[in-house]
Amino acid sequence: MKKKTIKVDYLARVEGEGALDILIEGDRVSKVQLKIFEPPRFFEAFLRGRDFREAPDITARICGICPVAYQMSSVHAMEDALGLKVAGPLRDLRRLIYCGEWIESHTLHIHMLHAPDFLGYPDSIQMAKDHPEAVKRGLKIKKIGNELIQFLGGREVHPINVKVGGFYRVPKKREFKELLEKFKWGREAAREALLWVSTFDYPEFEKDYTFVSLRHPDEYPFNEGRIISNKGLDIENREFDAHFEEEHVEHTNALHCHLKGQGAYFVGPMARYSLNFDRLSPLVQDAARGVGLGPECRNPFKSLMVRCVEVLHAYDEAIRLMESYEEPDAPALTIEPQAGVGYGCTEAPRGMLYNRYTINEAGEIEDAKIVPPTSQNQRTIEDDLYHFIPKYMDQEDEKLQWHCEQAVRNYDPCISCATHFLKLKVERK
Amino acid sequence: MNSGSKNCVIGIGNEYRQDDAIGLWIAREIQQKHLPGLEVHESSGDVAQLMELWQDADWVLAIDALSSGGVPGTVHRFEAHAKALPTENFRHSTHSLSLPEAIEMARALGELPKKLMVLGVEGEQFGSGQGLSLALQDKRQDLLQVALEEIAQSLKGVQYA
Repeated sequence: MKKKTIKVDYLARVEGEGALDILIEGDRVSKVQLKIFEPPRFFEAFLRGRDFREAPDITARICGICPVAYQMSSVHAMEDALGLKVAGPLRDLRRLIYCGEWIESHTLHIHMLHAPDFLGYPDSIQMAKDHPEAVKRGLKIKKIGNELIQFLGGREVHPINVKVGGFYRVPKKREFKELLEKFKWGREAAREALLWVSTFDYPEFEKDYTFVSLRHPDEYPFNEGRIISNKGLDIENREFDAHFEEEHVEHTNALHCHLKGQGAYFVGPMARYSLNFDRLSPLVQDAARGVGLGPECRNPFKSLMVRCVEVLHAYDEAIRLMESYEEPDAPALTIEPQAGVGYGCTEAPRGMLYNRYTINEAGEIEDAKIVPPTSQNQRTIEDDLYHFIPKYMDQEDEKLQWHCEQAVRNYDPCISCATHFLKLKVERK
Repeated sequence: MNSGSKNCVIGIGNEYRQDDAIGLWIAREIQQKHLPGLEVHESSGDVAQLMELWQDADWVLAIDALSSGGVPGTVHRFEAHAKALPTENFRHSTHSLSLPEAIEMARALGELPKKLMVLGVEGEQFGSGQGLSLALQDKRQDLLQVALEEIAQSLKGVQYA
């Protein structure tokens, strides 16, 4: 039997360090392994014994692209343990800083990491030579998102203004003026970027995914909501451990996660979009329909378009929040430690991010659990490749390898997050 | 120095990665000297931010750490407007472009300054934490002098203490 091995030793244009091994025997894909060899980072372990107030600053260091997601999940979990709820303008500011992160993270992926695949370029620099205006626009869209995080968070990477209960400092309404004008430009630019990516050729590939995301009664989810799926799941944050299970898999340093009794599932922009399309503003819904997207998207290659829709949403939502902002009475709630277990689930750019903490009477963290979106998607990425590769099996190895890497990049994996705790090898026999 | 020209020093680095902060330290020391006609900036290396900082500039001096296995404190000088930098020696995070890639992106977009000089300082330690390694602490005044001489040679009429 003819066997073929394709081995990608180092996946390019993804965050972090991972590899891919594929074995093809005859006309069958017999092995797909997404190998994350970035070393485990043990955050869950060294959070133990720390003060609960340190959690947002420590967990932010898990990732440089999505630190806000870790801060938001951790502060919500701590406030849950303390029986507190942040509401009003402070709640709005949290949504606003999350808008900034979605913008900068998604836009980096769209323009620097994934668009080159669809246009046949090895990297974004080569793409920029032929598409300078699109790339310049993308860089500016991203930069404005970074500016929002800097403005509200005090720093672009690992913001320093977020705390349990709120913020250390909140802005005055007049301070938003300059940023608001930039965001109005950005909203239109985001719409143009969506139109640009809608012209790409997308492989025909769909699966009956189990999508999982938050769902809120009134809004497209960032920080709050129940955990739902398109297959009947509808639970509170605190029920996560009863329905989801992490396991160590030999070929990767990042834990896999599955739905008990169901298996692999899919978190991220496509899941959010497909489960919450009706929560997008009319402007954003119209833009999505205008480029041929329906209320649901099951082609992972079109995640590029869905990310652009979410960038547009983030700009639109940010403008709404800035225009309606009223200064809170205080930058944060008064908090006193107490023993408890708290659960926080928020929507990182790459998908649902779950945090659980146990704290004692003195406010020390006794136990921590962090489940990042890339961990949750690992099995789905491998499943995708099992189903995707047969269509391209007859191609020469170099082309097949490129298709496989493109398929992995559909998920915008954040490998550093997945190991908080692409070398592609395809073997043909 | 021609009046109306834009000249910049940009210190690039991460303050929380030990020797990766050397570019920032040098830029801050230069800032303290208040050299006439010279803008001084700090940057994490973000492409869009760099392109905005050096937009319409006539002359730019970018200072960043690098790691090529050489003696810590060694200064490598590059004329980046003329030739690409060696990508493998400049440090970068897994979620952003390195300085060489940022420069090539700017070149591809036609956004490079007329003259872009890069001083790459060989670092020793790039682990987590604030503070330069002992090797760079001992040499930092010499490194500052190298940068000041580069400024003086390139920009006529600039006085420095």
